[in-house]
Amino acid sequence: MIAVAGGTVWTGFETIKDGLIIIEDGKISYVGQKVNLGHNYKKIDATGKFITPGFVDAHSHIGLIPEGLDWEYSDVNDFSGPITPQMRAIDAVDFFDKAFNDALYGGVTTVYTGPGSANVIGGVGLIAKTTGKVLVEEAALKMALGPKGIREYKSKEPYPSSRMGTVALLRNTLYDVKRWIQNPQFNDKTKEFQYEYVSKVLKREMIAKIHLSTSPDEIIAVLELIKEFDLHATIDHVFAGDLLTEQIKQANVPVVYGPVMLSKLYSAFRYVDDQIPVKLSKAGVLVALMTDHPVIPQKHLRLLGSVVVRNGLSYDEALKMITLNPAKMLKVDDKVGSICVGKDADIVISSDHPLRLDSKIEIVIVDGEIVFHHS
Amino acid sequence: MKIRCGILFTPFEQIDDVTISIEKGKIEEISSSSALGPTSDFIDASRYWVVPGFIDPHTHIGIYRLEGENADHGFEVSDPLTPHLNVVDGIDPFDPAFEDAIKSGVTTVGILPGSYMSFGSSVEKITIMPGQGAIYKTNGKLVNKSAFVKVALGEHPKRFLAERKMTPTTRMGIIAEIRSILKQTIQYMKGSNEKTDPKLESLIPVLEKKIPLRFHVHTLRDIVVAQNIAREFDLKIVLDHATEAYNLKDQLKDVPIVYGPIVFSKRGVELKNLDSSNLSKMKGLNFCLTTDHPTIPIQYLDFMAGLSMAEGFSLQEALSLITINAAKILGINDQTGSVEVGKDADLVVLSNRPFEPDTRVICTIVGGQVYWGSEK
Repeated sequence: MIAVAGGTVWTGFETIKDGLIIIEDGKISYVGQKVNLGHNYKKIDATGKFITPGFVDAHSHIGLIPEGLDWEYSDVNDFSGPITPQMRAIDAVDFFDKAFNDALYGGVTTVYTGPGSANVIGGVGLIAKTTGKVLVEEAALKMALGPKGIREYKSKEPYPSSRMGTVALLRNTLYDVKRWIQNPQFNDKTKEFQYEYVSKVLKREMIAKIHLSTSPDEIIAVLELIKEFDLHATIDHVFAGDLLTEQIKQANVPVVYGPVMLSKLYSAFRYVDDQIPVKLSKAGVLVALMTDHPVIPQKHLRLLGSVVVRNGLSYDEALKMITLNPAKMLKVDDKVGSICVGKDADIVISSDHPLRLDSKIEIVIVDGEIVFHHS
Repeated sequence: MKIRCGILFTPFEQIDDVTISIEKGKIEEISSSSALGPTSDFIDASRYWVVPGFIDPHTHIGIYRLEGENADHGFEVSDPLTPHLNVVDGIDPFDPAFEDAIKSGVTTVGILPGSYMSFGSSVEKITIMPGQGAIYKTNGKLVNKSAFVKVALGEHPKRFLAERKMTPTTRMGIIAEIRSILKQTIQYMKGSNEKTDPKLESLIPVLEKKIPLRFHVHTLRDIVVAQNIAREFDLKIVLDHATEAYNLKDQLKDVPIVYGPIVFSKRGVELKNLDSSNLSKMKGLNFCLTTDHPTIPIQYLDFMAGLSMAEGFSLQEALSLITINAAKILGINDQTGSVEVGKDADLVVLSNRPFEPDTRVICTIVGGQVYWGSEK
């Protein structure tokens, strides 16, 4: 049994001064005010430290785009065709990639990593601890609107060349699968393998993770689709989100924003503005931040939280964007994203509030094991 | 104009409750606040922090046109060696990044001809000698038109030229081209020339050690080669990026380094050792930090310095990394980079300690001109 004693504990819901966390069998068995302990504990003195849940990144390509190797080693986009729901990140992810280790040092303990945005339906992403333990093998189906520029690859199947075409292909596929669910005899047998994954989204067994990076019309079209097919969805990137704050709020669709700290490098990024996640959050939208690793290195997720503070959000709300909020959206908040009894003991001990730039991460615990101890 | 400062960080020392007098854009006097008489042109920053304006010696503001994949990326691709080109001829003074810079306290920037890495590629697009860079105040005032000449070594120019079916395509070839043009310049300087050669003309100040040759390098091998060229031709050099410099501390003690951007993934073999934690091993070197805007947006220059504090740098050292150190490397420390009598009045008034994410810029002063932040 491990006891983290003293320090300020931010659980995700409240701040406890001079707190205590007890870890048993990799889970949290107590969190609250400090009490006297027996001798059965391995004690970590956290006096003067700041203790938070491990950070959660709801949108990354860690392990699929390798560190220190050139782009030809990337496994993130497969150009077999515009609809490839059968592609699974779990079959390609490299847990030995250096970024996983760096992530742990940066306090990032849980990530969603998955296919890129080249295809209209790109494939299935997974959720894992950065120690390599897989939480959900098939967590979310990646769908993507625009930018169409990167789709100019050779493929037997044609790719749609406009946003109308992209949305139409997405809608047709969803309808085909819906009909297939109602009458399995109805459709092309060769496509059943693909349809199984799409059907999970239609049955709300899998998250629809929808990439929207270009413009507000994409957001409008996708909110419509989400409603039409009653999807459990997140919308990701959402650089024009502030123009449609009310609609996103009404639709009750969570936003995985970002990454922040990005320049308007491409025309697809012309709506980029680091105040957007702040505005959405203040309007009541559930917002998480993404590194989109390797766009921003995985380990710097907390720096993105600092960026959001710079742009006007409180420290606590910004911290939620890299802990509790992404855990909720990924439907793993019963295990990670907060320090509560019964949840996984994923804990970061920092020298100060982790969104302060001079704060140093000192100890990282995942599933009750100390995986990083700064000497 | 007078500014009453709650805390002034020069950045050599921290002084409480002083007043800075500014005359004709220069710092005229720094005195204890009690001596202050009534004046109409007065900024009361007695509750605030005042620090020198931030300096980023390596940006592509204005030359790298954003918002378009096919836009100008700030260098010429028709010829691998174009030292006669100057960014001043291609800078868009209306690039919003100038305003972003001022709003975040950045008062001086070095602007270099481009290099560019698109997402979905590990080839940074850059030629061998893309041209001359300039130094600007972020209010648009040109400080030095031909401040340095940029040169790039390693995988990036090598692969970019190969991708475009141009030559040379090896490190040997790249170095041969650089040595060749420098030797030609030496001959050119000796000869009585009937015809002017704009390329060689532009390298004369480099060979006369009036301006530095700035090397885009990442790996140790390329850092060593840059030093060899400097020795062979007796040049002033600056190493830019210098990702692996922390491994060569003894040899690099006197070489100015513009380090970073430190927040970037290990994209491609050239950057396999990039990590912000390497900063802890950079102590003792003559270096400053950069955003390489647009790689990191210019408004987060102070965040780069803030991160150094998690790697063992003090507040004073962190502040120096984006003020006086940068000014020295740009060779403009007689004008700016610290709050001293006689220097340009380039100042930032901050709501609180520098490098706190919730600290706001109250106003930025560039050459005595005040730009108010949204907090006023």
